[in-house]
Amino acid sequence: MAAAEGSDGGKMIVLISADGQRFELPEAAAKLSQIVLYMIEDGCCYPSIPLPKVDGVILAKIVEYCNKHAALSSGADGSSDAASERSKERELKIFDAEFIDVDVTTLFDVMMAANYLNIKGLLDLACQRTADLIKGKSPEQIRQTFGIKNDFTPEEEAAIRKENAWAFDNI
Amino acid sequence: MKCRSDSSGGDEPGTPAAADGGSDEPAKRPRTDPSSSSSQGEASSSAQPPPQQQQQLPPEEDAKEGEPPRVPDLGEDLVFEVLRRAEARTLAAAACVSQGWRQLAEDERLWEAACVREWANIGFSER
Repeated sequence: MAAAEGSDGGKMIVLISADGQRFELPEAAAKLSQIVLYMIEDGCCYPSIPLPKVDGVILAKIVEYCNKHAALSSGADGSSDAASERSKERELKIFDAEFIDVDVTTLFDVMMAANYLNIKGLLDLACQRTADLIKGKSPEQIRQTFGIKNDFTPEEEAAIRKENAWAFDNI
Repeated sequence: MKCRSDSSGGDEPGTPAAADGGSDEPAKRPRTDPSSSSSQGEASSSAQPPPQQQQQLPPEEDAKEGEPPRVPDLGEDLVFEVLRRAEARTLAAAACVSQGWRQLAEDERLWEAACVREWANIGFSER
């Protein structure tokens, strides 16, 4: 089947979310996913790539991330001077910070999708954001953040808290 | 993530080896080994509580706090990736979260990463 052409003449890739939504994005953006890259290389990306583990809300976020990063990646528009590289880096940094400033459920869904699709930059971003979220928190606060049940017996918990007491001076 | 809601591991028959090893320093083990955290004997090497004192929290206590919001289960690999970016204090807190997290947080690779990052910022470089 003939590849769809984007407005700039580049190939377009169509991703289908678990709930059947279609997302069309430039090949350069889709290739940020290692999994999609392999499928493109193997020629099994037409007419579309189904992603049954990612729902539409999250895939929309992923596509937004890939589009922005592909558009601002070095050399994407042919310019190569250091000043424009620096300003693009700054823009990406600002974009990333705003992009990942989401509720915990969305953050975790994005992290799992980035892991599944193997988008290294986005996985790093989501993991770092989560690490920042639990920085300086008590075990109970971490449980609340992650929705984890305390499965220690009171005696076990007392012992392990004693073992790690050095970390709780300021909490 | 493996979630053990019951704490009956220590009372289970058929784990004599783990119970015998309770007084030893727990050996390093692969972090994915599901059997290693199920035995009371290894869970705390110093304090060995008598079994009759082990009490489940009454379920009403959970109900009082209300239903927690739906949070997706990241799975061990992703929690590990998060902890790989955590500093030492956070790792210590993480070890107190649950049995599964304790096993993950004991991984030396995490502590190594935390130490390298912290030392990298205090001027111990080649320069």
